[in-house]
Amino acid sequence: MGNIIAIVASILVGGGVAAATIVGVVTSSTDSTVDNPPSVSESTIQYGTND
Amino acid sequence: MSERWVPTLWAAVLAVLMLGPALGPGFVLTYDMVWVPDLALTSDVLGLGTGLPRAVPSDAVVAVLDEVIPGLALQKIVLVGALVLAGAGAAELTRHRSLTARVAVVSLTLWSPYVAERLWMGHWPMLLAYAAVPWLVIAGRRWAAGERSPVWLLPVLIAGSLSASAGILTGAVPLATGLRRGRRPVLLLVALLAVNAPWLVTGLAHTAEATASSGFEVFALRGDALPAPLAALALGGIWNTSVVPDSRESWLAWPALLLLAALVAAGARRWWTSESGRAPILALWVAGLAIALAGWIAPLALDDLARHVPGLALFRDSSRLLPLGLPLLVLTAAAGIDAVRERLRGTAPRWAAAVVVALAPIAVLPDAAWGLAGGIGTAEYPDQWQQARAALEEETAAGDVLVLPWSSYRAPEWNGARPVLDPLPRMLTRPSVVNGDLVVGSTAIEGEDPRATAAAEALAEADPETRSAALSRLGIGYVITDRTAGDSAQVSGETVFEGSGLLLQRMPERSGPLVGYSTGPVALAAVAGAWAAYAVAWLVATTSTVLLLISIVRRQTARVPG
Repeated sequence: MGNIIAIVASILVGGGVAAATIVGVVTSSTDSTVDNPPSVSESTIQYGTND
Repeated sequence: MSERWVPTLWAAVLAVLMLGPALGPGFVLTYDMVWVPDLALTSDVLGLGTGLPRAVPSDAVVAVLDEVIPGLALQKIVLVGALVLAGAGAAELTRHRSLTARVAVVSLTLWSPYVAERLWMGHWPMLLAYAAVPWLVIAGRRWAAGERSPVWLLPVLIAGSLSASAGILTGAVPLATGLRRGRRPVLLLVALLAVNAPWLVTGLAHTAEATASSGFEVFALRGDALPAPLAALALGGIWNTSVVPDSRESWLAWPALLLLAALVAAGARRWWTSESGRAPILALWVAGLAIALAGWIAPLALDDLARHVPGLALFRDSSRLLPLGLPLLVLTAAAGIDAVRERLRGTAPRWAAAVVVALAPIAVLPDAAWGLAGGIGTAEYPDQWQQARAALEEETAAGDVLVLPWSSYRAPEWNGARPVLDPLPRMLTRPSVVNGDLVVGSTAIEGEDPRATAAAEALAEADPETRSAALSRLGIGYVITDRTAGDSAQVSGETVFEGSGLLLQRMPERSGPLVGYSTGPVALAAVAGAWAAYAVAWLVATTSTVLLLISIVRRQTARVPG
């Protein structure tokens, strides 16, 4: 009985991680991360931000 | 297919998944990553310009190699190669572990915050250095055991030492793991000196400028969503929050850290009791963490110190050297995975455990996929950039090129408005003078090039004629202005090329004495010697690589029956 529970649990965890990975990768790839692109005509472009 | 190739194949899959659109047609131009179709071997590229030689020897290597392989293809090879070699190296370092453990460490190594952040930041020499680390641990251990050095040692050292920070990182690993009492390290030291000679010597030739500015506070470790020291434990925490994937700023940073910590904790005891050469691995981890934390704990003290100690500013982006801790993480995590596997034996299906440990690093950093979720991509240079280059090539007047607008970074529309170090200087065939000032948030860090400072003063003159005359006295023969990059000072000169976006002007003949910025004969001889040593290292590495390939082919042929 214990064995069956372990097998079911591991299938759920393994399948869950696999599903979460696929959903996460697909979702983040379809959302743009560039929220505020710099203005192309701005002559001083920042090297980065550290706020 | 041999089981040995599974981790490498997995590394290739992850590399393609991470780079995604960056593997398409066009150049990947992001922050410090600037590649052009054909980089010219100018004095700047060789570290003989007046600015600090930040891209030595990487630019020179690219300038030579792109004569054989087009720059576009070379960039893809470097990016994919770095990621695959990093994963394959981690698997090779743990080859005594189970296949599950080796596949999992490929995921942990390749899908790490360090790789994502440095890729976005465009630090491709650091990615190559990161990839070299596990291989250099293997080589160092063989050396320490009295075995012959692997044939691939020198090529790996060269690939991993394409910038100053990269050279420090890769140099430290074989020194820590390979030096043992009774083993004469002469050959190793000679190899390390040769592959690092260009940046060492050109850096020494710019000692005065190297102490001019620092910026430890600006470039200090940041914690993403974690306290900074905890982010460093997971090899994250770059200073630039613009290149941090969103998931690292969210709650997902915590499970990512806990996953790594759990695996390391589960395997620490097993690793400690089952492997030799533990002290150097531990020392490298402590060193990487200590350097990263020093810039976070005492940035102002280090800023003061860097003004008096030449070369200390190399450590200002202190999280760059965090991969010194990679071997410990890989070795203990692999041991941890095997420990967990043994506990689960007979209860859970193997595939479920394998799926969890191989995919969990991706699940907690999902936005590292597909070009960092749009953070990086490809771009084609406008046609007029090539036309301007050709027009300048045909010019016979003396003088270097000044690049306007007077700022160092651009966000061109044709690059999807992604910030990048101005590619124009690399597109041209003459040495250039550019503004080296960096703007980070509300802080401006002055550049170190004295000629650029003088050029800025010339550009501050009242009218275009006076500016041009002052620039001519600095040895500026041409001025190229990117009109799409914002407002710029006007200069007077004859138009050599004019497109909708670019204007190339020839400066009037110099009327006064030339302000000299030439390299002295001693420095010149030293730099020539350094490049000669580097060329010898390349020659030996190329020869050994060819011999290695021939021996592999022969072995494969001998195995074929009949």
